Amino acid sequence: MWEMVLAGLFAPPILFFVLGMVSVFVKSDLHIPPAMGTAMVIFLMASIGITGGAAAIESLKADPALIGVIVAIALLAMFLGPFFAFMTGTLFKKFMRTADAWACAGHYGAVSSATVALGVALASEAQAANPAAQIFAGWMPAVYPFMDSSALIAAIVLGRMALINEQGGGEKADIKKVLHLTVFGMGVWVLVTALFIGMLSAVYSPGELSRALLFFDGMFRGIICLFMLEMGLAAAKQIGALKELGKHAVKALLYAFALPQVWGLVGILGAYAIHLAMPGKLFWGDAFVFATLAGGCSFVTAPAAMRANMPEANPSVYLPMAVALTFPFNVLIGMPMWMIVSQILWGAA
Amino acid sequence: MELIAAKKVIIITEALMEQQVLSLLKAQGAEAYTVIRNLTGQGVRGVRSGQCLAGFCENVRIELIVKEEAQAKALMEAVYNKFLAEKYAGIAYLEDVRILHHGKI
Repeated sequence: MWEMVLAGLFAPPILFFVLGMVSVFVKSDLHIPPAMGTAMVIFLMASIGITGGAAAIESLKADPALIGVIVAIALLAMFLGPFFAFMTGTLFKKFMRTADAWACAGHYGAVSSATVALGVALASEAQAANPAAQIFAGWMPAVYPFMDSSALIAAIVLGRMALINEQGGGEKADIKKVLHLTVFGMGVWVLVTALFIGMLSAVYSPGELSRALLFFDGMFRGIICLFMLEMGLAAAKQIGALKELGKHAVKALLYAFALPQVWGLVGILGAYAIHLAMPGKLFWGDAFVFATLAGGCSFVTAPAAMRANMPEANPSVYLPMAVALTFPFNVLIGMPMWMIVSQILWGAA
Repeated sequence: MELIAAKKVIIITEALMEQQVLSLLKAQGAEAYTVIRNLTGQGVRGVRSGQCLAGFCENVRIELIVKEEAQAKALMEAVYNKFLAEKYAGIAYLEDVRILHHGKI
């Protein structure tokens, strides 16, 4: 088990992440041009989607009853999103301004594509290292929009209601706009549509699909390294903004570190419950990726959604918490922990 | 052709708000504009370093040419009231220009 943890910690993507942070500290002019950043997101989301879709068809062919588990996980995700948002907002309101608390709530409830991409990389690595065992079926990223949309809508609705209460008036939440962003926003849209493409091609055109997968699957390991380099650069650059948290910096730090780990564990427990109800279909790699969905803290979709729908919230609070505090902690501490807990629960340790 | 006097409205604001500002301008009757992206800078609300993810710390510059100052002021006030007064960073200002008359404004 420990070898797997070490293998995870010293995997190239993690080391590239650390390199990104170090590069900022030594004031290198290394930077990832914005167009390249967008290109990497499109590639990663398409890759995860199309390989996930192909894997889903394979698993469904082998065991059609799997659809029950997938539906259960999707419903669980749709519940956990708003649940995490609600709990986070209620906790943070105790020491933050209302607007900031609910903006952060949206971040911690929603999904982080970067965290999920890394989770998928690690889970498929574990599967590839053990081809005989059943570890990661590959379809888990499909439930991304179920958690993301519901969490952001909940946070924005609750946040705007709280602000209306406080100020005695004000704008109501524009749910249509948020829904549009969380379903048709570039990252999740490419992920979900690529998933359908993977599924359709797997059924009707498997030969062509396998050739396309040479690119999408083959390049994934490398591109995720450069992507994590960009994340490291972004995380370190946000550290300076942390001082704006002021006297709440310590509390914010503790919550930014601890809360997502708890949400990730809740995710694993929920997946475990589904596994007990419908055994033999969900594996520890799937649960681990579900933990990354649950514990990840969105820092592209959520900040954009919050800036548009809760302009009263201070971006210098939610952005550094998500990018500089939570994401690095998730990568270095959360991932190994969720991996170990999943393995222990599934008896694979 | 002559050079005729006109007014140029310039709006600088957060990149994330580009589409919404353009929608408002179009609703106010503006038909033509220019958008310049990837701007960085600094203001009373802090630094726009251009180094965040997904266009977060960037600005855009929207320019429109209108004939009359009254029109220009109406556009600027609409944008100011909806976006710049309290919610988002940015500024709206006016320049005098002379355009090569092409009969389309």
